[in-house]
Amino acid sequence: MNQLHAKENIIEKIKQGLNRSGKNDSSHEVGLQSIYFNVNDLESVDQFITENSLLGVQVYRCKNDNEFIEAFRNVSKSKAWKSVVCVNPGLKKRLGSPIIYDRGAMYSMDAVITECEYFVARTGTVVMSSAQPSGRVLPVYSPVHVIVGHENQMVNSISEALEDIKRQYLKEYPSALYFLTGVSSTGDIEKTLVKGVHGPKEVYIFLIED
Amino acid sequence: MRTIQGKFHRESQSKAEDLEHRRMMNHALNQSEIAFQNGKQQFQNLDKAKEDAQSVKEKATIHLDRYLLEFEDRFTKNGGKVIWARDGKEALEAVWKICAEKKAKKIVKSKSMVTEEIHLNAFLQKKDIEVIETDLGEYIQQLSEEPPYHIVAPSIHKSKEEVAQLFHEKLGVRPHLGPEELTMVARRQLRTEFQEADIGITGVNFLLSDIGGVAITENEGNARMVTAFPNTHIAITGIEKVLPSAKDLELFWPLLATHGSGQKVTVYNSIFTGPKHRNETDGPEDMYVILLDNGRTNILSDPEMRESLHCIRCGACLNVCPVYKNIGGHTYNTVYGGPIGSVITPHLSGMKEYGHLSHASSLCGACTEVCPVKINLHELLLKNRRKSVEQKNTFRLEKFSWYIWKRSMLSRRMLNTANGNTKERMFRYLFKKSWGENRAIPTFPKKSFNEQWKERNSKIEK
Repeated sequence: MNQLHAKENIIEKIKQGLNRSGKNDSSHEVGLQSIYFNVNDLESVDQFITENSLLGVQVYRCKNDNEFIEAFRNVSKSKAWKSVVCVNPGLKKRLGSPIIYDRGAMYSMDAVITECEYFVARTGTVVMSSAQPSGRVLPVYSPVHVIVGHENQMVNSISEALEDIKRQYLKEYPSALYFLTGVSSTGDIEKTLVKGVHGPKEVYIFLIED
Repeated sequence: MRTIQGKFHRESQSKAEDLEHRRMMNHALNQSEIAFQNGKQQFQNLDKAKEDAQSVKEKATIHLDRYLLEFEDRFTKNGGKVIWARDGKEALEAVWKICAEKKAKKIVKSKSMVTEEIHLNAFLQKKDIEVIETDLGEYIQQLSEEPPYHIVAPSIHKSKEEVAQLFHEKLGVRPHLGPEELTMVARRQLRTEFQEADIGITGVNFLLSDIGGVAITENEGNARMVTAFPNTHIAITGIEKVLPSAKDLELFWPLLATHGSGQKVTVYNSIFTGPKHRNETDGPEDMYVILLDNGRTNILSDPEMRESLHCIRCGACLNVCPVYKNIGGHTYNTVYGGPIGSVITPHLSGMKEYGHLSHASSLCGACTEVCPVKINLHELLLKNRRKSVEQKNTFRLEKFSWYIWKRSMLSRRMLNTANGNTKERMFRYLFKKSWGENRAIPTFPKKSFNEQWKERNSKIEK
């Protein structure tokens, strides 16, 4: 097999096949304005919370960091989590509870708590990336995923999030970008919805006002 | 050639009369329809969304060479490796070369139709490599040693009782488990596989040329696992999956989700731009993208068929197709079933062998109406029929029948001389088989229309 040959061959076949001489393409400029029921800035947090409640994800809105820590402790107590993994040093220090472990506890963890890159209001999506300390494995392997972020991370649409990521990582894109919307699920057996197939069975979001 | 077509006819008939199959398919496809109606509420103007998507795919196709080269350039700069494959054999060789280099023993896979197309699993198993499907539907199909029944919902035809029995037999779990318990069995079973695997293989939903990335859409999280644990990630894709820019995903993720599963967006939409960076926590050391032609450039070179390359494999045309609903996915005997399968398969695998699929359509147009990128599917089926006849892939009897038909229809004398009974006998002789056993042969009036008209007019004159 000759790789260079294969490439040249395919490209040549495409060029010949398209036979583009003089023809202009008929595509028009794509504008997304009138396609979705768009969200305005004032209602974006409400929209995000509503979407997530439809997806079975509980969003806790907290006034400040202290309120978040208290709310998180309450949830973790009521769920009887014995080991919560956190690999973000700042967050770990803030939470400061004895049940917080680092990566080593991942195979027996009850939950993982991570930060995120952005929130997308229209679809209730959480954006994460492999550039964050939580990486690729932890957030998907854990049975429960707890996400904490600030309201100023909220954008209205997926394209805004993509634009912001581009600006943020000018030099190089993270190797993986994740748009998480709801809880891991399947309908592969008689279209019966079952949650927690491979990813987390439960997701909790803590949204801190600024 | 005749045997593929003959088999299709026999199996279509038996599936269409299988009431249990009909019950399962009706149930499942009804659920899909309800979900779709719900999902499309997110669009203020769905038709404009579809027009825009069509336009983006047109642009991607008309500059396909440029976008593929741009993808290769960016992805290589990101640290990934691009492999070009003219056909299935070259793609398989490329995968095998990587396996040998990495001394791979175990591979985990997420859902991918293109790997079905090149029969990757069978190839790797022959090389003594264990391949494990990790999408629940694909896992079920792999356990029962069957190809997928539907391009989005592989095990759509199986009842929960059948799946329970299958898991009991193959995995030794208690019999009669329900869907939730069965899903948890798969979760437990596959967790170890993700961690032990040497290589993860995925398909690709969209190739993003401006950032050199691949976008993968899923609901379960298995694709995330497959691309997180193993040391090597291989993504295999048809060359037509290109989108000019990552920002097109704002349009395509919701369109794919709504038409595929009735969601606003699916649970997990991931973009992979290359292997793990030095400062990142984890991820594969190597990432490869295999760009597969395998007949796609043939479709591209036919201006009439070109738009079939716009397909984003959402499966919506299968869900609404009365033929698919009645004969099911396996009867097509192709990798891609349903309307889109009938359109593209003759161009990928031979008109002579698969031209008959384009005749198995009522041309109701439900597929065209639902298609999120506005592929004119039922018209393409008609064009395939014409191409098939032009290439003389017809039975001698059929040609003879139409010859007689044409001669008779063009001859006033013949139409008037033969009475109703003679016409019926002729029709029966020529068309009985293709008319089908379950339809009554039409009765012909005693006199031709021409004769009746003349009689009527002469009466009025009198």
